Amino acid sequence: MQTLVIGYGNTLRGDDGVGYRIAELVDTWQLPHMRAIACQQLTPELAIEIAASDRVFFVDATWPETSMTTTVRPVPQGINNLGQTHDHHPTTLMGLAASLYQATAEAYQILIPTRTLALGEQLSDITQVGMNQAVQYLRAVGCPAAACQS
Amino acid sequence: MSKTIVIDPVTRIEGHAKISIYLNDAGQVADARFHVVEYRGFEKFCEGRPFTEMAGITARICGICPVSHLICSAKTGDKLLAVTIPSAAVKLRRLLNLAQITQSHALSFFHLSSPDFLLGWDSDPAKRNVFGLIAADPELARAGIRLRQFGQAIIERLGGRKIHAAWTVPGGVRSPLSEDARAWICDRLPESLATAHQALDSFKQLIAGPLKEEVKVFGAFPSLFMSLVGANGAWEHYDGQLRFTDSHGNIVADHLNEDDYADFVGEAVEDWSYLKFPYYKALGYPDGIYRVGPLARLNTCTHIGTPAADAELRAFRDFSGGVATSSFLYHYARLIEILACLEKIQAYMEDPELLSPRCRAYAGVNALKAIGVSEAPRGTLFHHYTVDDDGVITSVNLIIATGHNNLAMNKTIAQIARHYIHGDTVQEGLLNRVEAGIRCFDPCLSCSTHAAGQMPLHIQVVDAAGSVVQTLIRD
Repeated sequence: MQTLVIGYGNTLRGDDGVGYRIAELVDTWQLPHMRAIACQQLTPELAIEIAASDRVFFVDATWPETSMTTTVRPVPQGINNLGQTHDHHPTTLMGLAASLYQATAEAYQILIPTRTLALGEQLSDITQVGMNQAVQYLRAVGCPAAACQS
Repeated sequence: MSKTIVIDPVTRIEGHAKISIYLNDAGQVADARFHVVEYRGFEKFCEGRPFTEMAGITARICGICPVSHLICSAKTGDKLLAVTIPSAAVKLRRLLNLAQITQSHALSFFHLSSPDFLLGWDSDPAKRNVFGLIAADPELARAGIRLRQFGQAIIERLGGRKIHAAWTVPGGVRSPLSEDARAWICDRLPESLATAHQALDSFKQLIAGPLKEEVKVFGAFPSLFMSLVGANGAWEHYDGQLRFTDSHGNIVADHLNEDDYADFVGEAVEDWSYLKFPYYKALGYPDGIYRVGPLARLNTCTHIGTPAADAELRAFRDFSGGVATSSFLYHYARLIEILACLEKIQAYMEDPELLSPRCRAYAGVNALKAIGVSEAPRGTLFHHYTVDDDGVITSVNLIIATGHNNLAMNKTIAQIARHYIHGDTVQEGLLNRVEAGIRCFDPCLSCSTHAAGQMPLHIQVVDAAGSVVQTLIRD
């Protein structure tokens, strides 16, 4: 199963950069069936990448103080911004991929808790913990125990 | 009793803003304002950072046009080093910018604006978006995404990463084009050129027919135009000098150097917007209104320098009667620029110098102040840095392309509102036309104000007493 991890956010906006950082880390693993894209925001050409995958994880920061732990959930159906800006929601992107390329990938969001999105390059404690949780999860998903030792 | 109509936020642009439309007692539009509601604080954040980091920092202001900041920042850094960068580096940076313009314009036209052109302003709002476009013309939607992907992929092949390329540095670039990358670009060029030609043909039919009225009322007014131009007035995007022209095609000011921008560009502030109002100083504020970006670049240049794009430029000028003064024709100009970029990319693929490893000059800090300029997809971009002896930033001023167009954006929406809105009961399609006036400029408010956020769309008709007369909500 080909898995695509799309981690997005602005690394200059404090905890907002956690998704980007996670994708960068996953990319270093060089796993055969998992690839990662780190980007600042979701843009329509990602639909092409999604169409080539069986499963997609969208990794993103939540709004500050709205969550205390990392959560994984299916990408919601029917809630999207209808592609009305440069910046897309996972639902919109999955819809684009399905409409244009008949993509049938499973899609999930990995949502990391945050404390602040102010200008800055550091991650807060709660986001660091959330990042570790997400990384462990993706490691387990992308790397069955027999194949990975590190 | 006067009334106010508010569109908040404006959809299908980058960043966040709202539009207020003020009606007089007779129900006619008295004025309209484009409020940018985000706050800038970015320049302060940059103070204390080494200037060598500025390319990477400014590129992260916005995920849509990072390359523009990379290039302008690198050019500013070149001047702090006081170096002349190798010829190969100039060409490679130009290639990067051509790819950036291509992908940015492709997104603007195919994804954000074409739903209106092809589906109609008054079509069901739930379908007047990219999904409606896909249903109506899936091949066009796919072609648009592929064209954008083409530009993004060139950026990635040059810079190693799509958005935060650390490849463009003061002194040049880190590496040349590879043979593999060149082969890939050459392979995809024919499809991209075909898409550009097809889009141009389609759009020309639309503005000669169904969109004739829009050309007349979407920001059709005289103004100055500013952009970089090259030798002999050629279309420019990376270097050259600044030129102002007027609506009759006269050159108002020429051979202007970016170092002197404060002498010819003033910045006014209004208390109802966080976006500043640049103006041409010689004419004062607000008479010194000018436009930048694709429309301006095609108005200020004498020619582009590639055959197909020059042919389209002649057609563009024939259609416009010489100088294009309608903001709606930004869309047309964008398509011509896509074609120009693709032709120039094609020419670069024949140039062996792009493979040269001699692509970077090295030096220490040799100047304590520098101003760089380049043409972003949306228009002229300035970066102004001052540093200490160690190259640490002591002050930063960024004049963003979208900011230059602020006066013009306000004037455009006022004109559209006056034409289409009469009375306080406003149809959604009419409001979409007003928003679309802003979309002509393809503004990047995140860049202009360096902020981020999310807002639901809430449209209110509010009377002078503060009572809500009508509400439109888009989630």
